[in-house]
Parts: sequence; structure tokens; C-alpha cells
Amino acid sequence: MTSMKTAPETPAVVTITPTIQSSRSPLRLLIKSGLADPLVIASVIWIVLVIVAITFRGAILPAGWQDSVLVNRLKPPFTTDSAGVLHLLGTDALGRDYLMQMVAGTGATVFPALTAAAIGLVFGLSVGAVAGYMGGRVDAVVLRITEFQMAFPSLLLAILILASLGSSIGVLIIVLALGAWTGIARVSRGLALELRELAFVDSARVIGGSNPRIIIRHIAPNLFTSVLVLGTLEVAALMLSAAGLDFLGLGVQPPETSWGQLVSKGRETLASAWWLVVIPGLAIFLTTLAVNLIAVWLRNNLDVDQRSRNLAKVARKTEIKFDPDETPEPPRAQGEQGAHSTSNAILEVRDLFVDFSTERGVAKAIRGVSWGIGRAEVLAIVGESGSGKSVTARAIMGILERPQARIRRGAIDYGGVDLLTIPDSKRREIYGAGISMVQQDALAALNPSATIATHLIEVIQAHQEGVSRKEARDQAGDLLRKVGIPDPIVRLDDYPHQFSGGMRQRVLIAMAIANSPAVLIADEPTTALDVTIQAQIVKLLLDLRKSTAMSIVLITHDLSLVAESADRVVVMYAGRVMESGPVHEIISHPAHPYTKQLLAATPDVMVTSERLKPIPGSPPSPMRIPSGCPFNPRCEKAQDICREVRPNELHLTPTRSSACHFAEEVVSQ
Amino acid sequence: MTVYVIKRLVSAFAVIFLVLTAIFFVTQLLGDPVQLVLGDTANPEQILAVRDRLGLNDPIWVQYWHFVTRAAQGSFGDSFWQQLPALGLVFSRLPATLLLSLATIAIIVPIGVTLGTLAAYHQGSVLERIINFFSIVGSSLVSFWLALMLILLFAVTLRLLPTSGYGSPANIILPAVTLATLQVGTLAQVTRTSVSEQLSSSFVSAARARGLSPARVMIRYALRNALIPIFTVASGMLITLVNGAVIAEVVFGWPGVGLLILQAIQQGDLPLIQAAIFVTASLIVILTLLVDLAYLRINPRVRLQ
Repeated sequence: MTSMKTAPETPAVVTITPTIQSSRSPLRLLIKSGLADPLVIASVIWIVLVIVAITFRGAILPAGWQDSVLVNRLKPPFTTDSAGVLHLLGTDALGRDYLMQMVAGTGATVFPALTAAAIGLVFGLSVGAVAGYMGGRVDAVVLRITEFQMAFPSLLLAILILASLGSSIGVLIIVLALGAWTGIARVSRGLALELRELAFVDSARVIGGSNPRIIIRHIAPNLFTSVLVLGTLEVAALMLSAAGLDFLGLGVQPPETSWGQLVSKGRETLASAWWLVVIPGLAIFLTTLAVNLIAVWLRNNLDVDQRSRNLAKVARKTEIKFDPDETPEPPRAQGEQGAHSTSNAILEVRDLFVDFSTERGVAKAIRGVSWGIGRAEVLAIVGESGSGKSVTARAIMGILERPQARIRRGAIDYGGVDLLTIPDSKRREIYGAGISMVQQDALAALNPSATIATHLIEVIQAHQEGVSRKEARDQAGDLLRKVGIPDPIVRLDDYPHQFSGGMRQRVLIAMAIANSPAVLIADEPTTALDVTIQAQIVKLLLDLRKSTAMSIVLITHDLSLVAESADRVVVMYAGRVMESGPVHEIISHPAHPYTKQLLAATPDVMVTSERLKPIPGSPPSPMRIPSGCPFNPRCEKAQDICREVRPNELHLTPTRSSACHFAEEVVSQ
Repeated sequence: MTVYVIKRLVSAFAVIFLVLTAIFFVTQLLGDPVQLVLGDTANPEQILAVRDRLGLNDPIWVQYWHFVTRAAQGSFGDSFWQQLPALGLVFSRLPATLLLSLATIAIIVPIGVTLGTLAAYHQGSVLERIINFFSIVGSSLVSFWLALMLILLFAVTLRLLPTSGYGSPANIILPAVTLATLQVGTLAQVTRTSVSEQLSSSFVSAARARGLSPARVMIRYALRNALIPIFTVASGMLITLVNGAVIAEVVFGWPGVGLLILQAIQQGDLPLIQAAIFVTASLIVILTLLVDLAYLRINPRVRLQ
């Protein structure tokens, strides 16, 4: 948190040296979070009371606390006896003060579980660590033993051993530890395996001259955390087991008392003296609950993964604010919004802004994007990764990651309505029917536990009314044939993982065209495939366009693919449209230095003798976008004006526009 | 797949054999069975006769061999306490234990899965906190105390349900609710984690982009694929219930195997103890085997390997 005080322009410096702060801050963080949580405070207070009752037992208990006073039999809580003594928790069947009975029983309730947890922890940890570290035969034998013991009913084993050896505190502790060690051994085995791998990585680093203290600093604390949490949870679990054995009369034996025993005794008078059962049981519950709550608190604040998860949760709640470095834009005039569109567009994105809230602030993924697509047109959206091209597609399909993503402003017009304002049920009628999508990673986009037939039938039945399952299945077979899958009828009943990458992409296309959409959005449909299959898939999409007159939005970073297949191009950079226009014009005469440099960095497209020239630098983070033109730090032509004034979109011809101060100069070169 | 099933069967048999061995040697610790049968007042001749009859004069490995071969034929000898075949006695108690376990699971699964799914759908809602709270409370409650509290409330005070017993449907409510309360939060938590993981996967957003209804996306996409961890936890619970309902059986006087084992131990009834533990442990092995085979049905990817 101290990093907030440093200058806002130097976040990178802070992240490089986290170890300096982290050496002390976890404990401070832990205490801070504990003080903020009333449940943790209450748990700690309760545990302290329990410890006081055990430590000062001799001082608390009055002389003759065990003597029966029959006149005071079964007094309810908060009553005074004949001698005028207040019994806060009432009296038991022998007229003894119940609070004193409870105090007397505290040690015998907590001690066996605590000791057994410690023994189980030490034993389990060492066995697990040895097994994990040695591996091979030792590991296999230990695993078998733990599995076997787990198959054996643990409570029954405990009862059996206690019955055979006779009940004593010693046997009780052994029996409890026996139930505890297997789980701990398994976890510590896993940790040891991890440690071993990290140790290898580290030894490689040592050769390079780095510091072996990494193990002590980074690995040991994580191990310690897991063990601490595990041990705490184990104490709680063993308290319950010990109480159960006490209740059955197999645990702590008289004259020692324990809370479990008190419940068992009180059971006889349950109907007449409820407090004799309610109070000791409640005490066991509260103690176990306190221990469990403390374990959760430790895990949430010490465990690195959990801590980052908590951070993410906090980030989700923060309201999106504008960065001071970017002034909010006023809505544009009507005429300007269609700058990258085409006349009579069937799908039109207008002035779209999408923000993501992240742990580190607001990422502006899309900042004022507009484009439109005409009937039977192939519109390519190109740009490097992170330019916002896929986010646009997800915004159109209503599948932006919620709750992190928000559409700040804009409209998506389709069929005379704005997709962003109509109700969900109306939008669902459009998705998969009027507009459909083909995703990048076909395996991830398919339900692993449903057959291809199920996928196709459900999308057909969702949008075509009155189609029976049988008819939908027939349609599904035709669709698979249409997208070029051999043996379509047989393959219908296969699962996604049984298809090859190219075939899976065809399945996605089959689903996308199942309801003859007007627009198909293909989000990097060929990136995951090898080159020959890529060509086949692109050919399939273009053939389908020809035969069905659907429009295709092709999202890609592959300029050579654009050159082969698209009619028009929209070039995106840092969440903005840099330029747009007919594909052949843009490739031969780019009107934006970004496009120009992108083309120079792409083989195949420029069939000139020039050498490939990669663009220097890398795209800006969506959290810190440079002022002025976002491309200015990497631009060959950048002037002062580019750093200060954001260029407006300039119409060069009715079909071409560019967002560069020097567009006309660039295009004429 | 057949190879897999055969492998699992062989290993299940091996575990049952190991259980049998463990039972024999652990029960050796119980003390002299003759003393247990005849009590302290027996004269030496009687003792010798009984020792002979029970084969206790043989070397231990011979005794072990007899034990294993007889067990293989389904005999653990007669119960000392009830003078009936021990295995038969255990089997007569099995339906009660299974009934209680299944009734408990029948409460846990629908409630836990529904709550968990709803919490996954309404992320960050109050429901999420309720589930976390229930889960931690459930894992902090002692079963016998919860049982007694429910008896105090519903049987003693409100007089709605019987305190204990077996036979009528009303009898099963309190024990099943007791056992279910302890576990339902955990299952809800597992369901929530697992379903929300699936909800953020690509195939769920792809399904939404095809215009499928939210109910279909939730059930066929998210819940269906979250089923494996849910199933693992739920079947683990069933197994624990089958072997660990001793305390609930004692409190509610439920005549299951757990209660029988406790009585057998208190009576020092060696054959009955051996038979009961053998049956319970074998049941766990068989249930584990069934669970593993059920995975084949749930996960098509395993099925085809």
C-alpha cells in the first residue's frame, strides 16, 4: 500500500522490488484484516477465554467444586440458590455449579485434539515430505498405505482400538493422530513434489550466479502457510472426533470431565434440564467454529493465490472512472459516426467504448470504434493483439466478460434496433440466427460433454419454431456435409474431442450457418490451425458467402489473409480505428503510418524487394494510452502535434478515412 | 475400457483381502476371547475345552488361515452375544444403514446443488455468504449435539416427530436432517466453485452467442460440466455416511451397522466385530469401485481412453 505514495508515473519500478516490502507486510496485513473482521475478533477472544480456563483452572475452581449440594439440584441458568449464590449457567443433577464443571472440563476437551493434531502434523509432514522427495517406490508404498487406511472406517478403527486397549488419554491421542496423519501426508507429499521441481529451477539459476536464498524467502513461507492452515483445520476436525468418542464413553474417562462427556450425561435429563446438554455442546461448537474461522482468516490473508483472488474481488467492485489523462469525449455529430461505414449497412457499430476494470485500474479496450458492414460484404478487422478487435466482436455478441467489462457508450445497430438497448430475450432471438459467430479456439468453444448432434440440434431448435428433433437432426447432417465433413451422419454422434482441429472449426461454422445468418463474425478463425487447413477454412467461408449472400466480419491479424479474402478493411490500434477503406486501395496506398508499417512488417503482401521491417516498440497498455495519437511513440513520422492533439478521422474519399494528421501526405507517397 | 474395469476389480479384491488381514490382527489385541465368552468365573477345564473348540491352541498363522478360508465361504462364526451367525446379523442391519445414508444424500444433493448453482449465477450475492457460513458452521458442529438439539426442539418441545426408533417414515426425518445439515454447506460450496468456473469458460460464452436460453446454458453447459467435482464430493459423503453414522445411530436408536458394531465392542463379541467391520469396509470398497465406474458415464473423455 506504500506504493501509492510514489509518483503515479513509476508503477514499473514498484513491481520490480516487491520482496523488500513483502518480507514484513504479510504479518501486518494479517493483523490489519483480522481487526477489520468482527468474526475473527470474536474467535480470538473465545480462544483466549478457553486458554485462560485451562491455564488458571486451579485458581478459578473454588474449593469443593465437586461436592454435591442436593438442595441446589438442576437449577436453570441465571438463578440464585438458597445461599444466594448466582449460578450463571445453572447447576447439574448433583447441584454443582455448571460453569465450574465447564471450566474443569475445558482442558480434557481441547488437550487430546491439540496434541493429536501436533503429532499427526509432524508425522504426516515427515512421511509425506519423504515420499514426495524420494519419489519412486517409497512414494508408491506411502500412497498405498494412506489409501488403505482411508478405506478403513476411521471412527470404527478408533472405537475398536479404544475398546481393545482400554480408554486412556494416551490411547485417545494415538487414535486421533492415526485419523489425522493420512490427509496431512498427502498434502505435504504434493508440496514436496512442487518444492523439488522448484529446487531444480533454482539450481539452474544458481549456475547463472543468482541467490539460493530464494528458497528460504519464497518457497518456505508458502510451505509454512499451507502447514499452518492445515494444522488449524486439523485441530477443529479432531475436536469433533474427540467429542464424539467422549460422547460414546470411549474417550476421556471419569474422574476427568470433558464437554462431550457432559453432553452425554445431560442427555438423561434432556427434557427437564435442557441447559445441561445445550451449554457444553454449544461450547464445543463455538470452540471448533472459532478455530475454523481463524483457519479461514489465515488462508485468506497468507496464501498468495487467495490474496490475489481477494484483490480481484475488490477490483470488481470499484466504479469505473475516467483517467485524468484522457478527457471524456462529447458524443459526435450524427454524420461523423458512420465514418468507417458503408451505405446501407446491415450491421453497424457506432462510437463504441468498452472499459475493463482490473486490479491495477481501468483498461480502456475500445475507445470510440465505428464501422458498418454491407450485404454479402467481407469486412476485415485487423490489428495487433490487444488492439480491441476481438472485444468489439464480443460486445456485438453480448458476451463481454461480466462484471469486469462495461460498455461505456455507443450503439450496435442491426435490423433497425440497437442491440445494446433491447431486452435480453429479443437479443437471444438475433444471436445464432441473424448474427452468428465462429470462435478462435474451436475445442474450447464446444461443450466437452455433448455430441456434435446435440450442439447442432439445440441451435436449430432454439431459432426455428416447430422443428422436431428428427428434422433438426436431418438438418444437422446436411450442415456437416455442407461444411465438408466426411461421413456426416456417422460423425454427428461424436464428441468434440474426437475431431481434428480443422474439422472442429468446420463444426463451428456449421453451427454458425445453421439458421442462415445475415452476418457471420469470424474471430481469428484460422489462427489455431496449420497453413493448409487455414486456406481450406477461408475458402469454405468465402464459398458460403457466395452461395448464401451472408456478410462476414473477419477478425484477424493476418494481413495476407485480408488481402486474399476481404472487400473492405478496418485497421485498429489501441482501441481505435486508424483507417478504413477498400482492401486493394489500403494495401497499395495506406493512409496511416501504422498501416504502412504493419504492411512493411508482413511478408507476402508487399511483393516488393524491400526487406521486412518490424514495427519498433510494442502496443501501449490499455491502461496508459499515450496522449495525442496513440501510435505516436512508434511512428516514423511523429511530430509535436501527434503527441499533443488526437487526430480526428479524416475522409479522404467517400469510402476511405484515416485518423492521422498527415493522412493526405502519407497516402500520396 | 474392459481392461480398466478388470484392473479396478482386481485391486478392489486386493483391498478387501488386506482389510480381512487387518481385521484379524487388530482384533487379536481385543484380549482373550475365551475370557470374553465365559467371563471371569470359568474353571480351567472349561477354558481348555472352549479354546480347543475355537481353535485357539493352533499357531497364529494357522488361525489366520482358518479365518481367511472361512471368511471366503461367508462365515465369521456365531456371535457370542446373540448365538446367531455373525454375518447374518450384520446383513440384517445393513438395510437400516443404507436407508439412512441414502435419505441423507437425497436431502444434501438437491439442496446443495441448487444453492451452489444459484450462488454461482448471482456472483457476489448474499447467497454466496450464506453458503460459506453454512459450510463453516456445518464443519464445526458435533453431530450428537445437533441431533440432541433437534430432538429437544422437534420431539420434546414441539412434539412433531418421534425422538428415536425405526420403522415409520417419521423416524428417519431427524437423523437424516442431522447428518444432512453437517454436509450440505460443503456440497453447495463445491458446486458454486465448480459451476462458476464453467460459467466463465469459452464454451459457455459461445453458447450464449448462439442465443441459447439462460436455463439451457446453465444446465447443459455449466452444470453438466461441473458434475465431476460435485459427484466426487457427493459420493465421498455417501461413503462417509455408510461407514460413519455410528453416533447418529446411537442418539436416534437407529438399528444400523454402526450401532451394532458399538454394541458388539461393548459385549466383546469377537465374531460380530470382525463380521461387521468386514462388511462396512467391503461396502466402502464396492462403493468406491462403483463411483469410479460411474465416472466413465459422466465424462465422455475418460470413456474412450
